[in-house]
This record gives sequence, structure tokens and C-alpha cells, in this order.
Amino acid sequence: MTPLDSTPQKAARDDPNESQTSLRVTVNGKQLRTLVPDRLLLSDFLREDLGLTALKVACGEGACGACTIVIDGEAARSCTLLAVQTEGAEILTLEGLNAPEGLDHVQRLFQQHHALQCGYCTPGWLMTVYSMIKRSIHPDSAEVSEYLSGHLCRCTGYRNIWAAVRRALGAANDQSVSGRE
Amino acid sequence: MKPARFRYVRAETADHAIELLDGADTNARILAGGQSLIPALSARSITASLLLDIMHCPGLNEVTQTPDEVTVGAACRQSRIELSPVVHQSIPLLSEALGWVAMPQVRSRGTVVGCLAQANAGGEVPVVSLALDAQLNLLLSGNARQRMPAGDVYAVQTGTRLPPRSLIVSASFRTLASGEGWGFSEVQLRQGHFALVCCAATLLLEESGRVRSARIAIGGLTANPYRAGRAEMSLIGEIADQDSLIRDAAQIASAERPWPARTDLHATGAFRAKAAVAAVARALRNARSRCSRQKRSDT
Amino acid sequence: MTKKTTKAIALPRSRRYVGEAVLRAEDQELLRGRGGFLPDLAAPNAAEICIVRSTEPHAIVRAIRKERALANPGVIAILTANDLDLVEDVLPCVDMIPGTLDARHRVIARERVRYVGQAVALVVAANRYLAEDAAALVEIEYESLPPVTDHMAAKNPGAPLLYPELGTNIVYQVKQTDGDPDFAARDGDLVIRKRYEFHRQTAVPLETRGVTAKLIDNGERLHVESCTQLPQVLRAVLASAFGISLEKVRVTAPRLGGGFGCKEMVYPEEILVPAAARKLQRPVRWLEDRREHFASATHAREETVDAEAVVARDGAFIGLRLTGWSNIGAAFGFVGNTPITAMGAMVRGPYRVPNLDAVMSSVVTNKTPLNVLRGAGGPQAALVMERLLDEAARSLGMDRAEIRRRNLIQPNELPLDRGATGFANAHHIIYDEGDYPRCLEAGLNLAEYENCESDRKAAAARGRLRGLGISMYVEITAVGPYETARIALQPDGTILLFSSIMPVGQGSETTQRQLVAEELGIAMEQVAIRQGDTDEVPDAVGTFASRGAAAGGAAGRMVGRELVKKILSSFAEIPDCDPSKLRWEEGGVVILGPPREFIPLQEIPARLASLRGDLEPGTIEAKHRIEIPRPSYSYATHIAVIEIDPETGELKIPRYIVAHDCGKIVNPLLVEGQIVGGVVQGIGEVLREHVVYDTSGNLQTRALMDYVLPGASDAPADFKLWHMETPSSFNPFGIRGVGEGGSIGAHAAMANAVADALRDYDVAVDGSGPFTPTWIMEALSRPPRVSVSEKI
Repeated sequence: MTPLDSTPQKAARDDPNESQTSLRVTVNGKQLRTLVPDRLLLSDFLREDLGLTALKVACGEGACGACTIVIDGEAARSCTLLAVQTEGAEILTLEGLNAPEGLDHVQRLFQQHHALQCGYCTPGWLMTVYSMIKRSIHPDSAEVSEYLSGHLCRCTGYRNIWAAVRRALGAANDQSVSGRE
Repeated sequence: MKPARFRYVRAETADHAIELLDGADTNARILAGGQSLIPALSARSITASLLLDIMHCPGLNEVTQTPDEVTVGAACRQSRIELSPVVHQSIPLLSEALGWVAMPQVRSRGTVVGCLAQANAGGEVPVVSLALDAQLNLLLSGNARQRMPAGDVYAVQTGTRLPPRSLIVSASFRTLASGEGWGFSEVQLRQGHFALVCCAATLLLEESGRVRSARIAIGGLTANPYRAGRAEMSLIGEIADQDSLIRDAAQIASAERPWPARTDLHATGAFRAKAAVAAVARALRNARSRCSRQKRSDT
Repeated sequence: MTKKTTKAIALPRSRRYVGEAVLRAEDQELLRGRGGFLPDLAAPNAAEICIVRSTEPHAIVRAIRKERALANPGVIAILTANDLDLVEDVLPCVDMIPGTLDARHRVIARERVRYVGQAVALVVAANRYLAEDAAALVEIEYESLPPVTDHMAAKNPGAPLLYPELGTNIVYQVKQTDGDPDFAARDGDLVIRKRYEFHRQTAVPLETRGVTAKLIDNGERLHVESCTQLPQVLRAVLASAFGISLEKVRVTAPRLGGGFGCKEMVYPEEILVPAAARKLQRPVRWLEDRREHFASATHAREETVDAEAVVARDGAFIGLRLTGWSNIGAAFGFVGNTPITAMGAMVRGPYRVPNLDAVMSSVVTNKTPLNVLRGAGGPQAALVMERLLDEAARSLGMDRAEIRRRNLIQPNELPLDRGATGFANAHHIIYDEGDYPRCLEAGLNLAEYENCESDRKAAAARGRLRGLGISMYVEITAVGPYETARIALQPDGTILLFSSIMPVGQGSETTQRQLVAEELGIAMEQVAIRQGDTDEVPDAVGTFASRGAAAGGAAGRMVGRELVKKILSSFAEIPDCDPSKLRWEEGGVVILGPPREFIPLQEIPARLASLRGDLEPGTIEAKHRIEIPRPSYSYATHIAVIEIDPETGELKIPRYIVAHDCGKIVNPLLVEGQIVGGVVQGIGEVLREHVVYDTSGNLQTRALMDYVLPGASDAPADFKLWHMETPSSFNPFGIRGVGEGGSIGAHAAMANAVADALRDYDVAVDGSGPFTPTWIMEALSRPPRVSVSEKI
């Protein structure tokens, strides 16, 4: 999956001008010790060097949420961090959350509520929902809107995402149209 | 949108950070959460020669408390402070204001002190720092320490008056007095976007219901926040339960801005001046509703 | 490239799928983060490209110096126009009707740049970090020319010319008429004259663009991957650009992370990146970042329209006279003249307005080129008509619903020829069947229109200005001229459909599979689908204009019928088989006998092989091209209810209603998703979204914090949808398109709602805003409106 010759890591190894720093980080349960270029963005480290392409880089400025992952249990942007800043941290991406096969409970709710269309922003939302569930956020809490404001979706108009997220947090079904197989 | 080259060093202690800063050129920067710094580097709107990461320095990650103030270390993340019981108890104005900073997914990495250092226009934490008479605890070269009031830090139209090559090791916020009410209000284009204007206010009432003291700090109307001293004075000694008092104070607060109202892509200065009146009035009403009457013997 | 095919499993019974809310099988991979978008695809050994873009809005390029950049680590090459062997260097525009001047987009700037963001040079390096380092060191010497960004200035003699050889900046013009175009003001009792301004917007798909290119088959062929809605068109353009035959080019388009019209385009980068691959004889990749996307992906909607409406005293609109100018930026988009054409062609919507006289023009300016965006000019057209209706109602003292009833075309008048349109491939608009009055009443009932005045008073008591806005529109969908599909019954008994429709978020894979499964009478799980590869689907029109289900789906159903014919004739060819006893029923071949024999689809290849004495089961293929001589038309009523906080200018939407007719609904879940998504996008566009240039032609909005999209907190609190299904006789399966209508109705409904909320103020709502808090506060500072009847 990794582009063989053009990882920043590889280029960095060859270039004395590219300063590097050691990094010790756990990604999806696996401990890594490596050397990375100082300026390598965490989003690029995860996507290009580790092949974890579920997260997407859609804005590069932390505004859209498509690059969201979980660091030390909290949802966080990966495009506004350098890889080297995650020294000692535990990182979880969607690949680390996925069940071995098929869809988990939250993913299933997203499918049933048609809470995704093009799917580009979807991995980011799922990481935020995971962190909301971890914090036991109540579906009627004002915090729900705060967490959801961390993601942009151009396709769905958010109505179905609200329904799926509230269900994931334990609300009863208040959606008028839901699908069946 | 990839950053240009820089060197990165994990400072081992605060003193180590200052040493490195001293020995570096003027384009060396302190790196805490990075939530403002990294996107700016990615867009190449700024560069850095050296980034000094202070997040692993011992002693910078604490929240400490005295009867008079709560001190938040430079490495304390916004999300942690937002949920901190000590902060909720003693300086709840900061907890509430933090809920308006960006989004939770940014607050998990950004730091409270980082907001103070960045002084982004409309930043909520600098506004609260003025309302709570915050002191920024600085470390300078040669192990020198300095305590700088937030009012001095932001006494300039844009940017800060922090000394060059200094490190903010913590910020100390005045604990609210018994019975002191507080309020925060913000006007945004959309949830998660910047503050167009915001206001942090506190009110302390006499047993008679008259205002003993008030703090009104406004952000976003001008590039840097300011305290609306004249509006505060207009409240002192007056009966708090008058809506006209609040409305008039809000008008004064907006009008007494020391710098021109800010126009940008999102709103005009004229809009901000009007919206600030609403924000101040709402913050003051919230503060008033949270007041409890102060007995003379408690002062 | 890994093929993304849905797994097919056999089930015994056939089912009806049309009209069912079938869940999307493609969600499985998407929800696991394996959507296979272009940036996720492996690009082994690919060098990374960074494009050096003009920082000048209008300039002569005097010199390009590469030496400092070339010396940078990891740089492989720096390419400019002279380095690329381009036989043809203009990009296509399909709406250049006779008389259009040649303002086609050049692939790369040669002597002249015409907009900030235009590609000037390519840096090819080991990775994007190094490429950007080098790009910063490329020195370009510009000789600035005066820029012109305002189309109303650019159209006048004496304005700086973008193309001096053309002698003008007005490069396209179409006249549109119906009835008596010379109708006069004196034919009516009320004349309304307004100038409507529509601000510049952009699509902002979450996925930015990207292109990879490499040589395959021992260097004989070129393989290009691109985020495009038009892979077949791109292939043809590439062949022309390099002067090679079509067979030497393969284009594959992966699943798209949204398009909304900005990927319905052939872009310079889609030629430049392959040119670099050919020149350097190595694979290359370019992934667009968001900053460059704002400057180089197409913009939309900016136009000015002068309207004159003549109205009878009973509210009947007698005629509409329009002059319009579109700010199309520096060059034609693929369908860059379509939005302004749609203004004249579709402005009257479902209203009779028997007389039309319209002249629509495109004006080039020093801005990023303009193309379609969801609705393709429809939002602007509906806004003009709907604002005129409300203005007329106010002047005549009529109820707003009543004036609409007065003007709506009745069902027994349909189909109805609406006169000359000027569209390149639809010269006359002929509306198909529908019931517009019923649609209006449905919307009004759902919105509880009869309570709107008391609701307004109640809101005022809460310190809020409440307004209600009505809009109706007719949308051109499912355009032709044709569409194709290919289908194969594979040796293992599963169906593989090769579709010409790209998945951009609309769920085309599920919709197409539903249609084919129902046509064949089999389970959906037996149908797999592929698309986007010109080696597999060499000829297709593409994904745009809400045509996926109606056009692509029609082709899919028809090819299913072709397959059935081929299967039956395969059986008929077998000796001892009586062709008159063969039927297709319930998803298999029935041999009447006696005895009656049923061979389900999945057993057919094996059975045929056995009957023919073949060693192995084979594949049966069919293909079909369906001609689509005329588009079909969706329509809807939108009603927006808003509340404004007069202290802060903040606007909320407590209720939004859509009563909609898109003909036969294939999948209601997906249809609702399209409507809701379109509405929220339209709401965002008129509330906040604004592409801003300064007067010197510098683009100010470069980031998502600058160009503010709608967020989760903007979704209308109470959102009701209601559907009518009037089959269209213009489509063989009665399907009309649905993807864009949400945006078309939303602009007009919101503008009318804002005007209604501010009815007591002397405020003009003559365009799309945007209705930001600043706009609203300025409106609230205006004097109170004096009520004057404007009857003649």
C-alpha cells in the first residue's frame, strides 16, 4: 500500500538537510519505534508510511474533521499535528476499531440511517462517535452538537448523521425513513 | 500544504527550553498543542527555524490552587481544564468559555496557555484572562521569572507584549469571590467557527443588590481583547436588577473600544460593534442571575 | 488497481426492488474506511507533483527561471509549457453554440496568465514536501496587466481584454423566446423591474482532486486515474492532446468523494500530469490540497440578471424580459455557459408566463473559470421568478400562495413546449407530465401555511423576526443524448453490470443494481457492478445533470432485456430445443415442455455448457445504447421558515418543507438523502458561502475557515419531506432525476423567507445574498418600509 520510493521517511534518510527525531508511539495496539522527519505531519505518517488510509486529508487546517483519529482516548485531528508530537501516545485509527469482518454496531447504524453518501468524511465521524461513547455522552446533551460541529459533510445535510449518532448514544429511533435490506 | 523545513526538539525541562530559545535565532518558536502553529506552518504563512516542544517538561502539566487563584500549567490541555473539578469550582468562567473554543477535537490537543500566547483575534481564553485578572508566569533567560498581568500582555492592538525569548510556564486566574456571578456569551457564524465577538463578565453584588464590582472583557470586536473599564464603572453602586442599566453598560462597553472595530471576511466592524452590545448584555445578565447576595461579614 | 465489485451471492426467489429503501452494500467498505478513493490507491514508484500557480490575476509571463529550484534535494524535473509535447492544448467546452467565441481553457499558461491559481509549471519530486520546497524557488517574472474582475465592467467597451484577439470579453450569448417576445409593459397592469445579483460560490467536495499517470503494456499505453465524473470524455481529450489513438489511452475513475459539478470538467491537471508521465517515462501523482483547490477548481453561480415582469391586476404574469450576464472567469468550463443559459430556459419554472424574451451572455474576467454547481443555474432562475412573485403579491395586495395558484400550469396543459432554450443539446424545453398545483398545496399543508401570521406574532413576542418563504421550481434532469450499459452473465452464474454512472455519493451502485435485479427478476445480491474504467465502458455520456437513475438506470434495465434475449436465443440454438416454448420468468429460463422446467439464472451457464457439450461454462454478454431524445423534469415546492435574532443577526431554520416529484422512485432512502443534502447545501450557499476576490483580483477565500460551509448545527430542526410519483412518459421507466433539486428550491425559499422576515423594513432582497449576520444587521438598520400600492 505504501508508495515505495516516495515516503518522506525514505527521502529523509537520504537527505542530510532533513532533520529527524526518534518517535515511540503505539498505533492500533502496536508499539512502534522509528525515526521520522521533524516536519512530517501525523496525517501523512499514518496514511503514507503506515498505510492507514481510512483517515482523509480534506483541508489540512483542522477545520473539516476528515482526518480525525483518537489519541490517548480523545478524538483529535491528525493534520494539525506533527508525527513527532505523539511521542509516548496511544493512537487509534478506524482500522484499529473495525471488527475483524463486517460492520460494528455504530457502523451498522450509519448504514441503516443512510448517514453517509460519498463516504469521504465518514471515518472521521466514526472516531468522534467512538470517543463520545467512551465518555458516555447523553444523546440529549448539548455536548452532542459540540462534537458534531467538529465535522463537515457536504453530501448528507447532517439530518441522518444526527439520527445515527443519537441512536449510537442510546436514543430511541426518531427517524422517519429507515432502510431495510 | 506541507510545512517547510524546521528542526524539532523535545525540551527536557522549562529551563532547557529557555536555554535553547536563547541560543536560537529569532525564528525559533515554542510548541505546545500546535493547533494554531501547525496549520500556519502547513500553509507556509509562517516559517520556523526551530520548534521547542514543551509538552514533556515536568511541572508544566499541573493545576494548582490557592485561596486567591487557580494556576494552570503551560502543558495543560483545554479539554482537561474544561472538565477539571477545581476549575469548575473556583473559576467556572474558564470552563464555560473553553466550551466555545474551536471544537472538542481541537481542544483535546490545544493548551489553555497556548491560546494566551497565540492571541488569535476573538480568542476566548484571552478574554477570560482579562475578566479574571490573570497573571502570566514567565520564565526568561538566566532563570529570571516575571509575572505579567494579562492586561499588560494585550495592551496593544494586535499581538502580545510578552518579552521575546520568554516562556509562559503557567497562567494564574483570580478565584471568583463567594457570591460572585459570572457569564460568557459569544456570537458565531456557525458552531465550531471563530468568535465574531465574545464577552466574559463577572458581577459582585452588595446585600442591597447594588453592584460592588464588575468585570467586562470583550473579544473579537477588536483584534485584541480589552476590558471595558468605563462600562464597569457605570455599574458600580447601581441596582443590578435594572435592565436599562445592563443595556446602557453594554452600549458603553462596545463604544469604549480602544482600537478600531475589526472588519474581515466574516463580518464588518460595524456589525461587530452592534453584536458586542448584545454579547455584553447577555454575559452581564447571566452573571447577574448567578450572583448571590454578598453579606458584609463575608468580605 | 483493485476492482471494487460488490460480492454476489445466489438467492432462490426474485424480488421487486424499485421503490424499496434498500441499504447500500457499498457502505460496507466505506464504513470500514476502505472506499478506494484516489488518494488511498497505491502509486508504486510514483513521483509527486506540485503545481506552480500564477499569483497574478492578469499578466504576461516574461521568464521562468528554474535553476534554484532544480538544485533542491529530491527534485526530478521542472516542466513548463515548452517542455510538454502537446499536440492540442485547449480543453473542451460542450456548450459553444454557433457564434460563441473561443475562450477555451488552455492546458497550461504560455505567454499569458489570466487568473490567480492558473497552472504555470510543474515540479516533479520524490515527495510532496520536497516538491513544495522546490516550487517556492521557481522564479517567474510577470509583467502585470490591468485585471478586470467585475463582469458588469468587463462587458463594457474599454475594459481590459482577456483575449485581445477576440476584441471583447463577451464570449457567449443566447437568445431565448417563447410566445410573443415583443410583449409590452402596457399589456399588463403592473411592471416590476429589478436587478438580481448572484454571488460567487464553489462546490467544495470533501475530496479534492487528484490525478495519477503511468505507462503500461511495455510503455505502449497511457493509464490515467483521475477524480472525474467524465472518464470517457477525458480519455478522448487525452488522445487528442497527445495526438495518439484512443486505444492507447485508458482512464480509470475511482469512487469520488463528492463532485457537485466541479468534477464535471476536464481540467488542465488531467492533461499536465499525464504529459509529465510521458515526458519523464515514469509514474507520477498529483494530489490537490485545499488551498490550491479554492483557486483552481471551478467556481460557480456568479451572475447579474436584469428582469422586467409584466403582471395583470389579477396576478397573472403576462411576460418576462431578462438580460443576464454570467461571470465565467478566465475561460470556459466544460459546461461553463450552461448556468446562464438555464436562467432564460428555466426561469419560469412551473408558472405559465406565456411570453419570454431573454438574452443571456457569458463574460470573461480574471477569476477562476466557472462551471456548473448542483442545480446548474437552476437556483438563480428559481430565485428570480419566486422573488418576482412575492414582489407582485405585495404590490397587488395578494396572498403569496394565491398568486402562485393563479400562475401555475395545470396538469391538463402538460406536456408543454416552453420555447427556444439555447441549450446545446436540448433546443426546446418540453415539460413532461406533472401536477404542480397539487405539489404546491401539499407543501403549504405540511408547512401549516395558514398559521404563518400567528406564528410570526408569537415569534415577535419572543424577540424574533420570523419569516416564511415559498418556492417552486422545475428542474431539467436526465439529459441525453444517450447512455450505454454493458452486462455479462459470468461462468459462475453471477451478473456483472458495467455502468456508465460514477458513484459520487448518490448511491448509483445500489440504484443500478436494484434496477437490473428487478429487470431480470433476481436477487440483488446476484448483481455485481463496476464502473469508471474506459477499457470496460468505452462509451458513455457520464454522471451529471441528475441523470444517474433515469438515464444510466434506463440503460441498465434495457441492457438487462438484451441479456435475456441473448440467453433465450442461446437456448433456442440448441438442437431439440423448441424456441416457442422458451420464456423468461422469475429470474430464470422456463422451458414450457411438458414437463415444465425452470433453470434459475445462476445455473444457466453450467446448463448451457452441458447442453452444448462445452468443457467449461462461458460468458454471455450484452450491451445497449439507449437514445434519450428529451430530458425529463422534476419539480417541487420548498417552504423555508426562518427566525432572525435582531440583536445578533443570527438566523435559524426551525422548519423546512419539501414536497417533491421525481417520478418513479427507485430507492426512497437515497432520494431523501439527495433532497436533504441539496437543501442544506443550498441553505449554506445563501447564508454564508462566498468566494471573495479583492479588487486587484487576488482570491481572499483560500481555506475552509474562510469559506464557511453549513455544519451540523445548521440542519433545519423540523424537516419534512413528501413525495409524489408522477411517471414521466419521457423516460421509459418513468424516472426523473433528483440529485440537484434540493439546492434549486432552497435558494429561492430562503431568499423569500428573509424578505418576509424583514417585510417591515425598507430592504431589497434582490439576489442570493449571502444573508450573513452583517447583511441582516445592515438590513435591520434601514428605515421602516412605507406601505404603498404600486398599481398603475
